[in-house]
Amino acid sequence: MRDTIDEGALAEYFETLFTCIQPQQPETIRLAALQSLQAFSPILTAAFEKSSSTPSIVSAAFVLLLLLSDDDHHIRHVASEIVSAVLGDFMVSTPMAASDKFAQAIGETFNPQGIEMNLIPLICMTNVREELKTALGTSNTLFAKERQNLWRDEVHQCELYTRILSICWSRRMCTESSSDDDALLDWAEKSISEIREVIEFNDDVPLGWTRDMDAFESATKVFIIVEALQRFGYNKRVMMLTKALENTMSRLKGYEIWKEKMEEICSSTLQAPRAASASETPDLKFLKLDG
Amino acid sequence: MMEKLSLGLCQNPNPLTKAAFLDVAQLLFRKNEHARCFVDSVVHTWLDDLRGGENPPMGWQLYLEQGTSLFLDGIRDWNDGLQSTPIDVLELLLKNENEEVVLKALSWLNESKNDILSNQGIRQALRGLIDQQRWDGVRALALRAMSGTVVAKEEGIPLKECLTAFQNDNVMPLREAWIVMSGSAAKKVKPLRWRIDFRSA
Repeated sequence: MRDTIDEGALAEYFETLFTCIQPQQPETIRLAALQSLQAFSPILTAAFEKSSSTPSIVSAAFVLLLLLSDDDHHIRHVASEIVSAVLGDFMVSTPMAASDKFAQAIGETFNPQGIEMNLIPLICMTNVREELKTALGTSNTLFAKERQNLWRDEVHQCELYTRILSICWSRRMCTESSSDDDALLDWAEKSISEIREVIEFNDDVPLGWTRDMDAFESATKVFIIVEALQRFGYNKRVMMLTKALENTMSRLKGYEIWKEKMEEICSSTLQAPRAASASETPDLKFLKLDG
Repeated sequence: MMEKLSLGLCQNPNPLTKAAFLDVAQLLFRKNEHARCFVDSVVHTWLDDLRGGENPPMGWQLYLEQGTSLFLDGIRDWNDGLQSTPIDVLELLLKNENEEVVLKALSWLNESKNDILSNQGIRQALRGLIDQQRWDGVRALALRAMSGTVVAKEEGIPLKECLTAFQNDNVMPLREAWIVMSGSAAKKVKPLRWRIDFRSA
Protein backbone atom coordinates (compact mmCIF):
# COMPACT_ATOMS: atom_id res chain seq x y z
CA MET A 1 0.00 0.00 0.00
CA ARG A 2 1.60 3.29 -1.07
CA ASP A 3 1.51 6.37 1.08
CA THR A 4 -1.77 8.10 0.42
CA ILE A 5 -2.07 11.76 -0.47
CA ASP A 6 -5.12 12.81 1.49
CA GLU A 7 -5.23 16.11 3.30
CA GLY A 8 -8.94 15.64 3.86
CA ALA A 9 -8.34 12.51 5.94
CA LEU A 10 -5.67 14.30 7.98
CA ALA A 11 -7.96 17.26 8.58
CA GLU A 12 -10.73 14.88 9.66
CA TYR A 13 -8.29 13.11 11.99
CA PHE A 14 -7.34 16.33 13.75
CA GLU A 15 -10.97 17.40 13.99
CA THR A 16 -11.73 14.05 15.61
CA LEU A 17 -8.83 14.50 18.02
CA PHE A 18 -10.07 17.97 18.90
CA THR A 19 -13.53 16.58 19.68
CA CYS A 20 -12.06 13.78 21.78
CA ILE A 21 -10.02 16.09 24.03
CA GLN A 22 -12.95 18.29 25.05
CA PRO A 23 -13.51 18.39 28.85
CA GLN A 24 -16.94 16.73 28.61
CA GLN A 25 -15.44 13.60 27.04
CA PRO A 26 -14.60 10.68 29.37
CA GLU A 27 -11.03 10.55 30.60
CA THR A 28 -10.38 7.29 28.71
CA ILE A 29 -11.26 8.93 25.39
CA ARG A 30 -9.07 11.94 26.13
CA LEU A 31 -6.21 9.63 27.08
CA ALA A 32 -6.68 7.62 23.88
CA ALA A 33 -6.53 10.88 21.89
CA LEU A 34 -3.28 11.74 23.67
CA GLN A 35 -1.83 8.31 22.87
CA SER A 36 -2.88 8.76 19.27
CA LEU A 37 -1.09 12.10 19.12
CA GLN A 38 1.92 10.48 20.77
CA ALA A 39 2.06 7.93 17.95
CA PHE A 40 1.87 10.82 15.46
CA SER A 41 4.42 12.98 17.30
CA PRO A 42 7.52 12.07 15.21
CA ILE A 43 5.84 13.95 12.34
CA LEU A 44 5.31 16.95 14.64
CA THR A 45 8.94 16.78 15.73
CA ALA A 46 10.11 16.86 12.12
CA ALA A 47 7.75 19.78 11.39
CA PHE A 48 9.32 21.83 14.19
CA GLU A 49 12.83 20.92 13.07
CA LYS A 50 12.22 21.87 9.45
CA SER A 51 10.00 24.89 10.24
CA SER A 52 7.60 23.99 7.49
CA SER A 53 4.05 22.85 7.79
CA THR A 54 0.63 22.42 6.38
CA PRO A 55 -2.33 23.87 8.30
CA SER A 56 -3.30 20.35 9.39
CA ILE A 57 0.01 19.88 11.20
CA VAL A 58 -0.56 23.17 13.02
CA SER A 59 -3.88 21.67 14.19
CA ALA A 60 -1.91 18.86 15.84
CA ALA A 61 0.19 21.42 17.70
CA PHE A 62 -2.92 23.15 19.10
CA VAL A 63 -4.43 19.84 20.19
CA LEU A 64 -1.23 19.16 22.13
CA LEU A 65 -1.28 22.67 23.61
CA LEU A 66 -4.80 22.05 24.93
CA LEU A 67 -3.83 18.68 26.38
CA LEU A 68 -1.16 20.41 28.49
CA SER A 69 -4.03 21.94 30.50
CA ASP A 70 -6.23 18.85 30.66
CA ASP A 71 -8.04 18.17 33.91
CA ASP A 72 -6.25 14.84 34.43
CA HIS A 73 -2.75 14.91 35.93
CA HIS A 74 -1.49 11.88 33.99
CA ILE A 75 -2.63 13.33 30.66
CA ARG A 76 -0.90 16.65 31.41
CA HIS A 77 2.30 14.86 32.37
CA VAL A 78 2.39 12.71 29.23
CA ALA A 79 1.59 15.78 27.12
CA SER A 80 4.61 17.54 28.73
CA GLU A 81 6.78 14.57 27.82
CA ILE A 82 5.60 14.72 24.22
CA VAL A 83 6.29 18.47 24.08
CA SER A 84 9.83 18.02 25.41
CA ALA A 85 10.44 15.32 22.79
CA VAL A 86 8.96 17.45 20.00
CA LEU A 87 11.02 20.50 20.96
CA GLY A 88 14.16 18.45 21.55
CA ASP A 89 14.50 19.39 25.23
CA PHE A 90 16.58 17.23 27.53
CA MET A 91 14.32 17.72 30.51
CA VAL A 92 10.59 17.40 30.83
CA SER A 93 9.00 20.65 31.99
CA THR A 94 5.95 21.09 34.18
CA PRO A 95 2.73 21.38 32.17
CA MET A 96 2.52 25.16 32.69
CA ALA A 97 6.15 25.74 31.69
CA ALA A 98 5.67 23.40 28.73
CA SER A 99 2.60 25.43 27.66
CA ASP A 100 4.57 28.67 27.66
CA LYS A 101 7.49 27.16 25.78
CA PHE A 102 5.28 25.38 23.27
CA ALA A 103 3.15 28.46 22.56
CA GLN A 104 6.32 30.44 21.84
CA ALA A 105 7.61 27.68 19.57
CA ILE A 106 4.32 27.49 17.64
CA GLY A 107 4.32 31.24 17.02
CA GLU A 108 7.93 31.22 15.85
CA THR A 109 7.85 28.06 13.74
CA PHE A 110 4.75 27.77 11.64
CA ASN A 111 3.37 29.86 8.83
CA PRO A 112 1.32 32.77 10.31
CA GLN A 113 -1.56 32.07 7.96
CA GLY A 114 -1.74 28.45 9.09
CA ILE A 115 -1.63 29.54 12.72
CA GLU A 116 -4.43 32.08 12.27
CA MET A 117 -6.55 29.52 10.42
CA ASN A 118 -6.44 27.30 13.49
CA LEU A 119 -6.22 29.78 16.37
CA ILE A 120 -8.80 32.41 15.47
CA PRO A 121 -11.70 29.91 15.29
CA LEU A 122 -10.55 28.59 18.67
CA ILE A 123 -10.78 32.06 20.22
CA CYS A 124 -14.07 32.82 18.49
CA MET A 125 -15.64 29.69 20.00
CA THR A 126 -16.16 31.72 23.19
CA ASN A 127 -19.78 32.84 23.21
CA VAL A 128 -19.60 35.84 25.51
CA ARG A 129 -23.34 36.51 25.57
CA GLU A 130 -24.22 32.98 26.65
CA GLU A 131 -21.47 32.81 29.24
CA LEU A 132 -22.40 36.15 30.81
CA LYS A 133 -26.12 35.37 30.82
CA THR A 134 -25.50 32.01 32.45
CA ALA A 135 -23.07 33.46 34.99
CA LEU A 136 -25.08 36.56 35.91
CA GLY A 137 -28.57 35.15 35.57
CA THR A 138 -30.61 33.74 38.45
CA SER A 139 -30.61 30.03 39.04
CA ASN A 140 -33.09 27.75 40.77
CA THR A 141 -30.62 24.94 41.38
CA LEU A 142 -29.39 24.37 44.90
CA PHE A 143 -25.80 23.60 44.02
CA ALA A 144 -23.55 25.32 41.54
CA LYS A 145 -22.54 23.17 38.60
CA GLU A 146 -18.86 22.36 38.73
CA ARG A 147 -16.95 22.98 35.54
CA GLN A 148 -15.61 19.99 33.67
CA ASN A 149 -12.00 21.12 33.71
CA LEU A 150 -11.00 22.50 37.10
CA TRP A 151 -7.32 22.75 36.22
CA ARG A 152 -7.38 25.00 33.17
CA ASP A 153 -6.98 28.72 33.78
CA GLU A 154 -8.97 30.16 30.88
CA VAL A 155 -7.37 33.59 31.25
CA HIS A 156 -3.87 32.10 31.08
CA GLN A 157 -4.95 30.06 28.06
CA CYS A 158 -6.15 33.24 26.35
CA GLU A 159 -2.81 34.88 27.17
CA LEU A 160 -1.04 32.01 25.42
CA TYR A 161 -3.23 32.46 22.34
CA THR A 162 -2.57 36.20 22.33
CA ARG A 163 1.15 35.60 22.61
CA ILE A 164 1.03 33.30 19.59
CA LEU A 165 -1.00 35.87 17.63
CA SER A 166 1.38 38.66 18.64
CA ILE A 167 4.34 36.69 17.33
CA CYS A 168 2.44 35.96 14.11
CA TRP A 169 1.48 39.57 13.56
CA SER A 170 5.03 40.75 14.30
CA ARG A 171 6.33 38.31 11.69
CA ARG A 172 3.72 39.58 9.21
CA MET A 173 4.84 43.16 9.87
CA CYS A 174 8.41 42.16 9.08
CA THR A 175 7.31 40.72 5.76
CA GLU A 176 4.85 43.58 5.19
CA SER A 177 1.97 41.21 4.78
CA SER A 178 -1.37 41.44 6.54
CA SER A 179 -4.17 39.18 7.41
CA ASP A 180 -7.32 39.24 5.32
CA ASP A 181 -9.29 37.50 8.00
CA ASP A 182 -11.65 39.82 9.92
CA ALA A 183 -13.14 37.02 12.01
CA LEU A 184 -11.28 38.07 15.15
CA LEU A 185 -12.23 41.72 14.71
CA ASP A 186 -15.85 40.72 14.17
CA TRP A 187 -15.76 38.56 17.30
CA ALA A 188 -14.19 41.36 19.38
CA GLU A 189 -16.81 43.86 18.17
CA LYS A 190 -19.66 41.47 18.82
CA SER A 191 -18.33 40.51 22.25
CA ILE A 192 -17.92 44.12 23.43
CA SER A 193 -21.47 44.87 22.27
CA GLU A 194 -22.74 41.79 24.08
CA ILE A 195 -20.97 42.77 27.33
CA ARG A 196 -22.59 46.18 27.12
CA GLU A 197 -25.98 44.69 26.34
CA VAL A 198 -25.85 42.33 29.30
CA ILE A 199 -24.79 44.94 31.83
CA GLU A 200 -27.34 47.45 30.50
CA PHE A 201 -30.13 45.03 31.26
CA ASN A 202 -28.68 43.81 34.50
CA ASP A 203 -30.20 45.61 37.47
CA ASP A 204 -27.18 45.23 39.63
CA VAL A 205 -23.88 47.02 39.11
CA PRO A 206 -21.36 44.77 37.37
CA LEU A 207 -19.72 43.79 40.65
CA GLY A 208 -20.67 40.21 39.96
CA TRP A 209 -17.92 40.03 37.41
CA THR A 210 -15.20 40.01 40.00
CA ARG A 211 -17.05 37.47 42.15
CA ASP A 212 -18.25 35.12 39.48
CA MET A 213 -15.37 33.26 37.82
CA ASP A 214 -17.14 32.52 34.55
CA ALA A 215 -18.24 36.12 34.02
CA PHE A 216 -14.80 37.40 35.03
CA GLU A 217 -13.06 35.09 32.58
CA SER A 218 -15.41 35.90 29.70
CA ALA A 219 -14.92 39.65 30.07
CA THR A 220 -11.17 39.39 30.67
CA LYS A 221 -10.66 37.30 27.54
CA VAL A 222 -12.41 39.94 25.47
CA PHE A 223 -10.23 42.72 26.92
CA ILE A 224 -7.05 40.71 26.34
CA ILE A 225 -7.93 40.26 22.66
CA VAL A 226 -9.02 43.90 22.27
CA GLU A 227 -5.73 45.09 23.76
CA ALA A 228 -3.76 42.87 21.37
CA LEU A 229 -5.78 44.11 18.40
CA GLN A 230 -5.18 47.69 19.50
CA ARG A 231 -1.44 47.09 19.88
CA PHE A 232 -1.12 45.90 16.31
CA GLY A 233 -3.16 48.66 14.78
CA TYR A 234 -6.48 46.89 14.38
CA ASN A 235 -8.11 49.49 16.58
CA LYS A 236 -10.37 51.59 14.39
CA ARG A 237 -13.34 49.29 14.36
CA VAL A 238 -13.33 48.37 18.05
CA MET A 239 -12.40 51.79 19.49
CA MET A 240 -15.89 53.25 19.34
CA LEU A 241 -17.45 50.21 20.91
CA THR A 242 -14.84 50.12 23.67
CA LYS A 243 -15.48 53.80 24.42
CA ALA A 244 -19.24 53.19 24.55
CA LEU A 245 -18.67 50.33 26.97
CA GLU A 246 -16.49 52.56 29.15
CA ASN A 247 -19.25 55.15 29.31
CA THR A 248 -21.80 52.53 30.28
CA MET A 249 -19.52 51.16 33.00
CA SER A 250 -19.03 54.68 34.40
CA ARG A 251 -22.76 55.42 34.33
CA LEU A 252 -23.61 52.18 36.12
CA LYS A 253 -20.81 52.75 38.62
CA GLY A 254 -18.95 49.67 37.57
CA TYR A 255 -16.09 48.21 39.57
CA GLU A 256 -13.13 50.58 39.58
CA ILE A 257 -10.54 48.25 38.06
CA TRP A 258 -12.71 47.63 34.98
CA LYS A 259 -13.14 51.35 34.50
CA GLU A 260 -9.39 51.89 34.74
CA LYS A 261 -8.73 49.19 32.21
CA MET A 262 -11.30 50.61 29.81
CA GLU A 263 -9.75 54.08 30.14
CA GLU A 264 -6.31 52.62 29.51
CA ILE A 265 -7.42 50.82 26.36
CA CYS A 266 -9.31 53.85 25.06
CA SER A 267 -6.50 56.31 25.74
CA SER A 268 -4.01 54.00 24.05
CA THR A 269 -6.08 53.88 20.89
CA LEU A 270 -5.88 57.65 20.55
CA GLN A 271 -2.12 57.44 20.08
CA ALA A 272 -0.48 56.50 16.78
CA PRO A 273 -0.24 52.71 16.38
CA ARG A 274 3.21 51.47 17.24
CA ALA A 275 5.08 48.34 16.20
CA ALA A 276 4.92 46.04 19.22
CA SER A 277 7.54 43.44 19.97
CA ALA A 278 6.65 39.76 19.85
CA SER A 279 7.53 39.32 23.50
CA GLU A 280 4.92 41.77 24.80
CA THR A 281 1.90 40.30 26.44
CA PRO A 282 -1.10 42.18 27.79
CA ASP A 283 -0.62 43.78 31.21
CA LEU A 284 -2.96 41.98 33.55
CA LYS A 285 -1.64 43.42 36.82
CA PHE A 286 -4.89 45.33 37.25
CA LEU A 287 -6.72 42.02 37.48
CA LYS A 288 -4.72 40.69 40.43
CA LEU A 289 -6.91 41.60 43.39
CA ASP A 290 -5.46 42.14 46.84
CA GLY A 291 -6.33 39.67 49.54
CA MET B 1 12.09 -40.09 37.76
CA MET B 2 11.94 -37.16 35.39
CA GLU B 3 11.26 -39.49 32.46
CA LYS B 4 8.44 -41.14 34.35
CA LEU B 5 6.91 -37.82 35.25
CA SER B 6 7.05 -36.66 31.63
CA LEU B 7 5.58 -39.95 30.43
CA GLY B 8 2.80 -39.55 32.96
CA LEU B 9 2.07 -36.13 31.54
CA CYS B 10 2.19 -37.20 27.86
CA GLN B 11 0.13 -40.34 28.22
CA ASN B 12 -2.43 -39.06 30.67
CA PRO B 13 -5.65 -38.25 28.76
CA ASN B 14 -7.16 -36.17 31.54
CA PRO B 15 -6.64 -32.47 30.85
CA LEU B 16 -7.14 -31.57 34.49
CA THR B 17 -4.22 -33.79 35.41
CA LYS B 18 -2.12 -32.12 32.73
CA ALA B 19 -3.16 -28.77 34.16
CA ALA B 20 -1.97 -29.90 37.57
CA PHE B 21 1.42 -30.70 36.11
CA LEU B 22 1.60 -27.19 34.73
CA ASP B 23 0.77 -25.81 38.16
CA VAL B 24 3.73 -27.67 39.60
CA ALA B 25 5.95 -26.59 36.74
CA GLN B 26 5.05 -22.94 37.32
CA LEU B 27 5.88 -23.22 41.00
CA LEU B 28 9.20 -24.91 40.37
CA PHE B 29 10.13 -22.58 37.58
CA ARG B 30 10.06 -19.58 39.84
CA LYS B 31 11.89 -21.11 42.80
CA ASN B 32 14.40 -23.64 41.64
CA GLU B 33 16.77 -23.32 38.72
CA HIS B 34 17.51 -27.04 38.90
CA ALA B 35 13.94 -27.81 37.97
CA ARG B 36 14.46 -26.16 34.58
CA CYS B 37 14.68 -29.41 32.67
CA PHE B 38 11.40 -30.53 34.22
CA VAL B 39 9.78 -27.29 33.18
CA ASP B 40 11.13 -27.64 29.65
CA SER B 41 9.66 -31.14 29.41
CA VAL B 42 6.28 -29.94 30.53
CA VAL B 43 6.34 -26.96 28.17
CA HIS B 44 7.41 -29.23 25.31
CA THR B 45 4.39 -31.45 25.90
CA TRP B 46 2.11 -28.47 26.16
CA LEU B 47 3.43 -27.11 22.85
CA ASP B 48 2.71 -30.41 21.14
CA ASP B 49 -0.84 -30.32 22.50
CA LEU B 50 -1.25 -26.71 21.41
CA ARG B 51 -0.19 -27.51 17.85
CA GLY B 52 -2.48 -30.52 17.85
CA GLY B 53 -5.38 -28.10 17.74
CA GLU B 54 -7.66 -30.23 19.89
CA ASN B 55 -10.39 -28.36 21.61
CA PRO B 56 -12.41 -30.60 23.91
CA PRO B 57 -14.43 -28.95 26.67
CA MET B 58 -13.71 -27.35 30.03
CA GLY B 59 -10.55 -28.99 31.38
CA TRP B 60 -8.68 -28.56 28.12
CA GLN B 61 -9.31 -24.83 28.18
CA LEU B 62 -7.87 -24.55 31.68
CA TYR B 63 -4.83 -26.53 30.58
CA LEU B 64 -4.26 -24.24 27.58
CA GLU B 65 -4.71 -21.10 29.68
CA GLN B 66 -2.26 -22.26 32.35
CA GLY B 67 0.24 -23.24 29.72
CA THR B 68 -0.12 -19.81 28.14
CA SER B 69 0.61 -18.10 31.47
CA LEU B 70 3.66 -20.30 32.01
CA PHE B 71 4.94 -19.61 28.52
CA LEU B 72 4.48 -15.84 28.74
CA ASP B 73 6.10 -15.64 32.17
CA GLY B 74 9.14 -17.56 30.95
CA ILE B 75 9.47 -16.14 27.45
CA ARG B 76 12.63 -14.22 28.24
CA ASP B 77 14.39 -17.42 29.36
CA TRP B 78 13.20 -19.42 26.38
CA ASN B 79 15.10 -22.66 25.85
CA ASP B 80 16.40 -22.67 22.28
CA GLY B 81 16.44 -26.47 22.45
CA LEU B 82 12.66 -26.49 22.17
CA GLN B 83 11.57 -26.84 18.56
CA SER B 84 9.56 -23.67 18.25
CA THR B 85 10.67 -20.04 18.65
CA PRO B 86 8.77 -17.72 21.01
CA ILE B 87 7.38 -15.84 18.00
CA ASP B 88 5.98 -19.05 16.49
CA VAL B 89 4.29 -19.90 19.77
CA LEU B 90 2.88 -16.39 20.12
CA GLU B 91 1.37 -16.68 16.64
CA LEU B 92 -0.25 -19.97 17.62
CA LEU B 93 -1.66 -18.37 20.75
CA LEU B 94 -3.08 -15.43 18.81
CA LYS B 95 -4.78 -17.82 16.38
CA ASN B 96 -6.20 -20.06 19.09
CA GLU B 97 -9.96 -20.35 19.43
CA ASN B 98 -9.84 -20.05 23.19
CA GLU B 99 -10.56 -16.40 23.93
CA GLU B 100 -8.79 -16.39 27.28
CA VAL B 101 -5.60 -17.62 25.65
CA VAL B 102 -5.82 -14.90 23.02
CA LEU B 103 -6.47 -12.25 25.68
CA LYS B 104 -3.46 -13.32 27.72
CA ALA B 105 -1.23 -13.15 24.65
CA LEU B 106 -2.62 -9.73 23.66
CA SER B 107 -2.21 -8.32 27.18
CA TRP B 108 1.39 -9.50 27.22
CA LEU B 109 2.06 -7.93 23.81
CA ASN B 110 0.61 -4.60 24.94
CA GLU B 111 2.66 -4.58 28.13
CA SER B 112 5.95 -5.78 26.69
CA LYS B 113 6.31 -3.20 23.88
CA ASN B 114 9.24 -4.96 22.28
CA ASP B 115 10.42 -5.79 18.77
CA ILE B 116 8.24 -8.90 18.55
CA LEU B 117 5.44 -6.63 17.32
CA SER B 118 7.35 -5.78 14.16
CA ASN B 119 7.30 -9.45 13.09
CA GLN B 120 5.09 -9.85 10.04
CA GLY B 121 3.49 -13.09 11.25
CA ILE B 122 2.47 -11.45 14.50
CA ARG B 123 1.08 -8.42 12.67
CA GLN B 124 -0.92 -10.64 10.34
CA ALA B 125 -2.30 -12.55 13.30
CA LEU B 126 -3.26 -9.23 14.94
CA ARG B 127 -4.89 -8.03 11.75
CA GLY B 128 -6.82 -11.29 11.59
CA LEU B 129 -8.15 -10.71 15.10
CA ILE B 130 -9.26 -7.17 14.19
CA ASP B 131 -11.08 -8.32 11.06
CA GLN B 132 -12.80 -11.34 12.62
CA GLN B 133 -16.06 -11.22 14.51
CA ARG B 134 -14.38 -11.68 17.88
CA TRP B 135 -15.32 -10.19 21.18
CA ASP B 136 -14.86 -6.40 21.28
CA GLY B 137 -12.26 -6.63 24.02
CA VAL B 138 -10.09 -8.88 21.85
CA ARG B 139 -10.38 -6.55 18.88
CA ALA B 140 -9.59 -3.51 21.05
CA LEU B 141 -6.45 -5.10 22.51
CA ALA B 142 -5.32 -6.26 19.06
CA LEU B 143 -5.72 -2.71 17.72
CA ARG B 144 -3.75 -1.29 20.63
CA ALA B 145 -0.94 -3.80 20.09
CA MET B 146 -0.84 -3.04 16.38
CA SER B 147 -0.78 0.72 16.91
CA GLY B 148 2.40 0.43 18.96
CA THR B 149 4.42 -1.19 16.18
CA VAL B 150 7.06 0.35 14.00
CA VAL B 151 5.93 -0.25 10.46
CA ALA B 152 8.79 -1.71 8.51
CA LYS B 153 6.78 -2.44 5.38
CA GLU B 154 3.84 -0.69 3.81
CA GLU B 155 0.93 -2.33 5.56
CA GLY B 156 -1.60 -1.49 8.15
CA ILE B 157 -5.04 0.04 8.36
CA PRO B 158 -5.70 3.21 6.33
CA LEU B 159 -6.52 6.38 8.24
CA LYS B 160 -9.93 6.76 6.64
CA GLU B 161 -10.89 3.24 7.74
CA CYS B 162 -9.79 3.99 11.31
CA LEU B 163 -11.84 7.18 11.45
CA THR B 164 -14.93 5.52 9.97
CA ALA B 165 -14.67 2.65 12.44
CA PHE B 166 -14.28 5.15 15.29
CA GLN B 167 -17.49 6.90 14.25
CA ASN B 168 -19.45 3.67 13.79
CA ASP B 169 -18.36 1.63 16.80
CA ASN B 170 -20.37 2.26 19.94
CA VAL B 171 -18.26 0.20 22.32
CA MET B 172 -15.97 2.46 24.34
CA PRO B 173 -12.78 0.31 24.40
CA LEU B 174 -13.02 -0.15 20.63
CA ARG B 175 -13.54 3.57 20.00
CA GLU B 176 -10.48 4.32 22.12
CA ALA B 177 -8.43 1.70 20.29
CA TRP B 178 -9.47 3.07 16.88
CA ILE B 179 -8.47 6.61 17.81
CA VAL B 180 -5.08 5.36 19.07
CA MET B 181 -4.64 3.39 15.85
CA SER B 182 -5.46 6.54 13.84
CA GLY B 183 -2.29 8.17 15.14
CA SER B 184 -0.12 5.46 13.58
CA ALA B 185 -2.19 5.52 10.40
CA ALA B 186 -1.94 9.31 10.13
CA LYS B 187 1.87 9.05 10.06
CA LYS B 188 1.63 7.33 6.68
CA VAL B 189 -0.55 10.00 5.10
CA LYS B 190 1.25 12.61 3.04
CA PRO B 191 -0.63 15.82 2.35
CA LEU B 192 -0.24 17.32 -1.09
CA ARG B 193 2.01 20.17 0.05
CA TRP B 194 4.14 18.07 2.35
CA ARG B 195 7.80 18.65 1.49
CA ILE B 196 9.41 17.06 4.48
CA ASP B 197 11.11 13.70 4.27
CA PHE B 198 9.74 11.79 7.22
CA ARG B 199 11.49 8.53 6.50
CA SER B 200 13.88 9.24 9.31
CA ALA B 201 11.09 10.35 11.69
